[in-house]
Amino acid sequence: MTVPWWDDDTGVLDRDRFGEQVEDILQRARRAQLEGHLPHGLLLVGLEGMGRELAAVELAAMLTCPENAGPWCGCNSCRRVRRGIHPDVERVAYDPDLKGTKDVIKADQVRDTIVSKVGARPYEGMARVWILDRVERQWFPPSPANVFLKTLEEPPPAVHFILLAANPGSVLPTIRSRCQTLRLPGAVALAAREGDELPELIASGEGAREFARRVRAALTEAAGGDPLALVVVSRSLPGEPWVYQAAAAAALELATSGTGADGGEGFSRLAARLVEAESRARVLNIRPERLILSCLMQWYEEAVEGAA
Amino acid sequence: MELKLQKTHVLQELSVLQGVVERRGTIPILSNILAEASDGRLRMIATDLDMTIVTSCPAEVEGEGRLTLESRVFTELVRNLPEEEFVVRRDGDSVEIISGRFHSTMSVADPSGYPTVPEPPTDGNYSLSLDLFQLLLQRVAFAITRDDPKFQLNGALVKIVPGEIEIAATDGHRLAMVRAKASTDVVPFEQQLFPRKLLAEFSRFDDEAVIFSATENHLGFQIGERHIISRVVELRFPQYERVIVRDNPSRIRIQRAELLGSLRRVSLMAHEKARGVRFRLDGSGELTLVSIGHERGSAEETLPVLYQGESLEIALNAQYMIEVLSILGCELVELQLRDSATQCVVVPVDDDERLEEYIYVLMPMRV
Repeated sequence: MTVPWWDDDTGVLDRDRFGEQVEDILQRARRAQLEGHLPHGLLLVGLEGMGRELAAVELAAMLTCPENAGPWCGCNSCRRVRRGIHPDVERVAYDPDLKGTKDVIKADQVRDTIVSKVGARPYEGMARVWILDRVERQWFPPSPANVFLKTLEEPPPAVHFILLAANPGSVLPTIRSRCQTLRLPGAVALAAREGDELPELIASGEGAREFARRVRAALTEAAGGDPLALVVVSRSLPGEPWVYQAAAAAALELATSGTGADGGEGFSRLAARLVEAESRARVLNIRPERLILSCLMQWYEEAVEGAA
Repeated sequence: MELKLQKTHVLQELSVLQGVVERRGTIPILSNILAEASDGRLRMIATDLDMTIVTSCPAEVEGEGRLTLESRVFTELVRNLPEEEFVVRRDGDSVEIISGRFHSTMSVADPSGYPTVPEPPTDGNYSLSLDLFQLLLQRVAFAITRDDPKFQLNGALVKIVPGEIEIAATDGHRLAMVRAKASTDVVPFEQQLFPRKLLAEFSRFDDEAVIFSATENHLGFQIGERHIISRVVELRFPQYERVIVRDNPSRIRIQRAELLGSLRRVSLMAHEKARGVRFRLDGSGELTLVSIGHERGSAEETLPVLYQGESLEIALNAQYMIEVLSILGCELVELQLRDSATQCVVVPVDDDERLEEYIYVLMPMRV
């Protein structure tokens, strides 16, 4: 039943990388906490591995902190939350060790890790916090969600749930309506902070912006049924490190405008894959056109499959 | 930090801690015992987060400090030490354990990763005879739900008012409730759910008394020099008073051992899962037990009883009846009945005089 916390070496909890971007959410939550009206259900919306995990962990630390010191506290309790070894903070995510073929959070898992344990008071902290990773319906479908609904609706005092999703549109409405949504800054703003050349290029309207436009056009064209445009655009990539971010920004733009039969879900997955591909590319030294093409083709196949 | 310890003392306390050392949890350091040395004593702590046990033993302490020791390895090591006296010395990330000509170095986890253990409350003075408390628990613990997802039933409800203690347990089909005179001191709480695992823990001790205390998040139990700390569970226990009926008109007294033996025989032929047995009373003074279900066969036995009244019949779960008859110590029991749809009540006759009331309620089976 153990779900490992985000590994240190993935860097998703790196404050230097994502601290600035989650600051706004943390400050808003802190104000609500001090005023005593922070909802017990929070839906954090942001791309996977791009700050939302850091925001969730810092919120959990802040909520359980015995010194009530606010974000980025350095006390022993907060440090243990960050290491994933605090008794009052638990992460619930798809567990590959559990039986079943679909990679979803299981109903029994929700029962064992949340519902049956939610009645106990905190062990040491000010509150108990559960972080549910990936609550879009493909990972958190109705069967586990229904087990969870009543608890999410009326948890005992001092219990908080932090739910993570990239695409709020595909979170079950019954879950979404019981949470307050907090959005992390989008991928474009993020890309501007990430790469070195990118901010300049975006500012000057050259390169990245132009490339993002071409990707967007190709995706729209392909959504009409012709995958050739995807091959063309990925063969003519600029040889720059920001291509992943620019392509992800394009996909995310389509996702947020709700393009596609699935309300943008497929585009949001594509954006997440492109961001993931970037970190893979750094490690494996693979040529970008191959990685980007495979992301685009995967999106295309899913879109075709979905339509059929 | 250096400690001089006696093997016998340490081993005894380690055995007390074994029940709560967590081995497969999400927090690996919980498979360790947290050891804190100060003031001539070694305090040892283990927790599975629901329950925490704090215990201590005498030690010659040089330099105070705390460290974590992997429970299984440390316990086995101490058990097999060649001499009674041994030395534990902390040296950076490792601990030396020396006894006679044996010397070992054991790596230890950083104690800063260990959860902050709730301090055992020390101001409690609500005290109860441990012997009596164990009797109370023995009378109800068997009725606690097994493997029910409704975790709020996975324990016994303990209610205290000055002068009296009442404990109840139920699985939704039967209920056991026991009441006894108790301390008139200020009560630390009015009612709390005691999880099954906590109840089992009390049977391991043979001290005189247990002192109850409570904070917002934890219940404390001091037994001698040891402390059990149990996490408070949000209370959603059923309103059990409603199912306790005290005015069933048809009452029969019967030898406990006789009824128990007969039920064991008759229920063998009953349907395997339901284990139903029909209790048939007629005005002539006979109780007939008849097995329900035919796939195995059938069985029937007649017991003479003192009964004058209307005939009646009720189907009951034999297992539930066998369980209560097995834990009672008295010679006679009284069954209180009304009709086939009203719950059956079992009370002991001439029970242990320390108890004010013991009542066991069984819901009838629908056949």
